[in-house]
Amino acid sequence: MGDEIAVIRCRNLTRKFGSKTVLNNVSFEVSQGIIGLLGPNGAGKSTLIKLILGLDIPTSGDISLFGKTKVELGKIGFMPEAKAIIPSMKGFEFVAFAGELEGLKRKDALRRSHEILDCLSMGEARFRKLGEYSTGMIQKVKLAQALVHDPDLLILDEPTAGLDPPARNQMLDYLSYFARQQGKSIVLSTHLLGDVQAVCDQVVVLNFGVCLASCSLEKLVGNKADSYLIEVAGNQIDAIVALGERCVGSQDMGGFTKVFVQCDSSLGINNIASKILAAGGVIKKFVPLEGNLDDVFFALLDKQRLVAN
Amino acid sequence: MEFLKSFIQGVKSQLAVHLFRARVGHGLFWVSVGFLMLVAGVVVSVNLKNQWNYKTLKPRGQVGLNFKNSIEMIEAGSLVLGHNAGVSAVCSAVASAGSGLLVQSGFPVFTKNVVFSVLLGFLLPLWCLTFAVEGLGAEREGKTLFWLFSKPVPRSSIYIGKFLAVLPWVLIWSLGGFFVLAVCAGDCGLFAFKLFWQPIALASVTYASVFFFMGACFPRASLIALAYAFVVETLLGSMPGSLKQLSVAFYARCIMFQKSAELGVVLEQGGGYGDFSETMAICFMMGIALLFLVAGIFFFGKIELRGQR
Repeated sequence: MGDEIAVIRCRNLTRKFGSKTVLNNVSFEVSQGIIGLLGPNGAGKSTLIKLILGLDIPTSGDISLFGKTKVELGKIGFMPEAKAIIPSMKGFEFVAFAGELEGLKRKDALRRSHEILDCLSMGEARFRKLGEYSTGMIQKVKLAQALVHDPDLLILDEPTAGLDPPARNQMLDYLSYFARQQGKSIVLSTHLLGDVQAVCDQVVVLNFGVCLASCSLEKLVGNKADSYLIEVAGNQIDAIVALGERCVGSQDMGGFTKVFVQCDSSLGINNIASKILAAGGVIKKFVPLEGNLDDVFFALLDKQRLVAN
Repeated sequence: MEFLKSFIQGVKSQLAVHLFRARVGHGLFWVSVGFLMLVAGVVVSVNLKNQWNYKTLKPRGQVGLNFKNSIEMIEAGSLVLGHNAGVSAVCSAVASAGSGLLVQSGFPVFTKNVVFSVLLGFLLPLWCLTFAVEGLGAEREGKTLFWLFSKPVPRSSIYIGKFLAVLPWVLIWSLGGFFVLAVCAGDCGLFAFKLFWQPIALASVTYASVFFFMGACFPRASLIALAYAFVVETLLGSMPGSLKQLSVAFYARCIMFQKSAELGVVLEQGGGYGDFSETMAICFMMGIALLFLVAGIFFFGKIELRGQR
């Protein structure tokens, strides 16, 4: 991260509801760019978003945005997953209403509303009532209301949910535009790994409230030069344990395990193979990793399950 | 100062958006319309039969002559006893007084049977909850609360702004409904409306505060509000003894009782409505409204939106 101020920094963040721990000692920091927040249902993504927005208080640990522990909601634009619209309002009125809630004067809110809706190619549709909008248009209006006050950080919860492929690509293009051209930081919470791979620079992976990974996307999925997929049979668990930190993730395939490994100059391919064999594992396949986020994501979840067992 | 500014902004934007956007198409609204039409139909039918008076009033136990027959008999008696000038004169005077009473009896009969029983005991709570529960309840069901909370305005401003936006609808609906019933009843109804619109308006504001609180703080608030309206206002409100003091309707009845007493009309003997002066009853109702408003602001500020995204 260097001297650059982290957009979001979480330190030992824990949130408990009674005896249930929803977030467990989560620590990560992310810098400017598009950050993919990944995790299956119940991973703790929504709780983390509420904590970032200051709508909930952590049981322990702390969270800071742009180096400040006090949440400044005016600096954040939030697009919820739920429809969260007022069907009787027209598109531009709703966006202006969001602007007024953000502290803009009525006149400025209306001007900004039209600017953003222009930018999102909403055309004359902005003058129709939200109740008549398609899912794609609702998602655009929700994005527009998050942007109306020109925030530094956008938190988008499932922005491409329910969109057809062209609309989804268009939405991802908008996100890239706002991040690359306008310098916004975007947290993209989604189940769609393809979306993350398409636009994100950094990834935070959560499962059962634990942070499994937080790094750049490139580092997570690896590249052909130093990341490998190994199919291990025999004594699989001991082989994974023997690999230690080199094992980025694993996926139980029933009878054998897919192991994702990152090498560097200090631990070459031969050494990795030796460690697996010494631990009683049998190597069925040893191929360079294709850089697929799906494989790595499921591997991370499986590794967590294996270690827990 | 910053808080005050965002508070005013929050109230203003809620008012601007919701003042002209009450939801009128939902189920409870049509139930309210249905009951208004039903009761208005009964009132019209009674009016057509010219029965808003003591004409059919009978002694306790429903035996013997009714009020009108008694007057006719006394009139007949004055003719039969024409040879006795003194007795005949007394009979004529009693018959004239009775006829006068019959003409003037519409007001107490309408007030007792429609305003005291049906309107205050059932219709008014139902009409008020129709709009008041929907106020923030609809935001909760529509999942816009989470979105609203992500805006930098105090929750108290959302609560008060929305309450102020809902209030005119509650007043228009309850006073409008009362006016429709009054028109259907004819002169006696219009006289009752002129005399009682203020306590009905005050009761409406109090109900609005109670039901708005329920809508803001409880899921499935419509059911809770209906249960409250039926158990507290309809059942407890019509019970003998001091239990009825738990209902809002009791204090509205106290004011009406005092107003009628000033005209020399005693609406209900032994109901305990004379125990509270008009000022005391007004203070009680305003106190209840204020109590629920403050409680609502407090609990609304503490709401945890678990499960909302």
